[in-house]
Amino acid sequence: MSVLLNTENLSLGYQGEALIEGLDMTLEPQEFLTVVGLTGIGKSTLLRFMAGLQDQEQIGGQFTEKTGLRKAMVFQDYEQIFPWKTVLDNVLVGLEKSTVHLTESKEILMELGLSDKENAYPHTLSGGQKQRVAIARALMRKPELLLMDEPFGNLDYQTRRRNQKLLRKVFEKHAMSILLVTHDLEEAIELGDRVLLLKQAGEHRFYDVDDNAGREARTRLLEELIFELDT
Amino acid sequence: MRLRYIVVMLLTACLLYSGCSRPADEGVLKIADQYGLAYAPLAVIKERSMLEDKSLEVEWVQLGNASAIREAMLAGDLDVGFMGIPPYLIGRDKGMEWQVFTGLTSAKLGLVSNLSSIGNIEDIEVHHRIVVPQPGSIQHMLLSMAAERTLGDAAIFDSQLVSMKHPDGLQVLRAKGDIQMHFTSPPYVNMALAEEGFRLVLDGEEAFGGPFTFIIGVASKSMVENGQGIEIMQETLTEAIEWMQRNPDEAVKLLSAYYDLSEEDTRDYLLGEQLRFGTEIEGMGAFESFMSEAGYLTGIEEK
Amino acid sequence: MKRFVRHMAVGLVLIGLWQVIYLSGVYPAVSFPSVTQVVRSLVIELGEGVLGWQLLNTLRTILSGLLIGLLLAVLLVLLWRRKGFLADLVQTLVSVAHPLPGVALLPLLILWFGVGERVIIVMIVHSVVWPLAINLKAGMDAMPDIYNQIAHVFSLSWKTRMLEIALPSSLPYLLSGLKTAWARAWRAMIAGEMIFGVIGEHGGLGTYLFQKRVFMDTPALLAGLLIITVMGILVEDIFFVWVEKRTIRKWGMSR
Repeated sequence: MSVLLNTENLSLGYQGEALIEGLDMTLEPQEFLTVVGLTGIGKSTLLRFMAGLQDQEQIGGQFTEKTGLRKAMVFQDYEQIFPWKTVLDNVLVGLEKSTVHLTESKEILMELGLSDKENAYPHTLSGGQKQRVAIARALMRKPELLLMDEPFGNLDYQTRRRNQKLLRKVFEKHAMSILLVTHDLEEAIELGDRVLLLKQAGEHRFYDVDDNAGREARTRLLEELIFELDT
Repeated sequence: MRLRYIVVMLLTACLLYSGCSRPADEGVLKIADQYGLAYAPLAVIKERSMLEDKSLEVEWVQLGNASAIREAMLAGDLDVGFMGIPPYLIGRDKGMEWQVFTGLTSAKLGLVSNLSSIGNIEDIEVHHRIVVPQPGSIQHMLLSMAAERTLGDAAIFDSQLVSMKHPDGLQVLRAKGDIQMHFTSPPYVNMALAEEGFRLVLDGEEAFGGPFTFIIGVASKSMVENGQGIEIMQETLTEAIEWMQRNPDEAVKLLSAYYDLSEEDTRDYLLGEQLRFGTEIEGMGAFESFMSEAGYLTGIEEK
Repeated sequence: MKRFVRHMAVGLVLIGLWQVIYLSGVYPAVSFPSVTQVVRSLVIELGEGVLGWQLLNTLRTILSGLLIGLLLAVLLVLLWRRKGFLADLVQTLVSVAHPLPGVALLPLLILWFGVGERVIIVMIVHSVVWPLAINLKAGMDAMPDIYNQIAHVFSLSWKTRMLEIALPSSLPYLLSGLKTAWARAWRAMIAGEMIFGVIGEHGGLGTYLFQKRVFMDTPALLAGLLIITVMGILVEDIFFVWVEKRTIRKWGMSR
């Protein structure tokens, strides 16, 4: 299988002013790439550009993606779950309520630990549960690429850890790639196969995360990332 | 605490308000008439300060319809009112203690149609609409009397009535929209009949079966029985009517200014056959018996 | 429901107070009839008279006016939310027309639409369309931008966007608009009829009040007012509360 998307010397920004400059990146199938950087550096801009949301412009460079690439997205905000739809209807939004879809959605909800919430309305759910509904909704689209914008950013530490583990499990089960933006460096290392660090003035670097590396290696990577962000 | 404060404020406001709106000045005679040439003697009294000359303190009010006059008299805001016979009868029927103390006007009322196809009341169809000043007005009663005589059902047109003031009625009649007829009084009858193709469907006296008084003056019973003011009123009315007859030129001048009409038109209306002023009262009994039989007077229900 | 019971209790107290004033004889019985007279009138008017028809007629007319007004409001809001000349036009129209009471327009409306049922419907539509449009617009404006992003990312159809997202999302606003619209339509209808008397076959409640006034049937007049009050309570305390319970309260969206 070919790469899902590829950028060469890509510059993005608003009203002619570049936020991201000269980005070269490639995303392989079934790869988990996390993006970190300081606030305002353009992490979300990059993600939204890839999602096709038209609020920023491509200023220069090349961007190519696999034709017909199936994408889905999970946002940071709890508001992404429609309060007037039950959990099941949220997951099925825009999809026909066929038997196939119903069976699939129930499986996905079970996978995300939401089976008993199928008919619940969102205002009765916790923040973590709402984000899992959003993930379930994205999974229903059978995405080849799942874009995630700080999905656990609003959660408390415990809930975040639990959801991170769940996400990694989901990632391994479904054949897809994930591009996840976060400001949490630990989360980036914990989840990603590769970490993209965005720095000022278009500087960027990739770090490989070795799943088999011990705690020490990971701590070293974390320290390196912290150091890079500070300079 | 705050609630008590508000209640006190409200009570104060109520007191102030009722204090202003109903001054209990015993001396002042409050008189209400309506707009139109049929009330011309009252205009003469007003303009020539004839009551004031007899050192009677008066206050004039002009109201839009008989219901308003009736309600104001019931509420104690008015002492004397001028209206048609039927509204008076309705009030008395419902237990108002008031009495007629004078007649004022007889007039040629008439039902005018704007369609050549409507020549008499048998031609009126269910979808036709008829303008009257109000249900229960003398115009409505005359229509019902004719309907009973000709068609055997007094109430047959009751759900086809539209209520409007005379000038508005004339305007919609001219517009030839969804209104086909207007039961009105001079000068509007004459103005309507001057339009091309408009016809007189029913004449008031023809409907009534003889002459009748159009406008009467009423006051509370106690006032009529022992009130000095009422006697002066009666006297002055007679004088005013006599004055109009003796000084037609002056009367025309005064009234044309008062009603903002041309002197020529005023002369036509006043000296023609349409309006006759006089203090006698005609037709009261016939109105009363018709209205009771047809169910427009029902009496007060006993408890 | 609790609110309904409370309102009823207050109503009973007021009725008691009424009877006390009647018995005190401060006001003449012609203008201040007893409670039993009023109740008897109510029974007679509903049973033998056309009050039932007039009530139905009133409701039917108001509902048609509301429906037309709602459709117009939706159209207006769709234009309003576009940028440019049309949006400015709608904006101006709303600010000019909204504060105008329908009754004030009546003399003009009569010239344009005659005095039939049409003119009442036009007046009701005028009374309801502006508050509906304003609320609907506010609801759409208050819709979180994230809904549009979701619609884009998940390629939702226009129909889904409108019916499953924009509509329920602005429902709290729409409902408060409908409440205002209902109250205004109700007033416009009664006021209009009280000015003309009969409109249509039997007319509506305004016609009823008008006729009872001119024939000085005060108990029946009060019976009519009672019907109007009860209708108001039914719609506001029962119907709208019922709708809210099944929608925005169930969804945790009530403002």
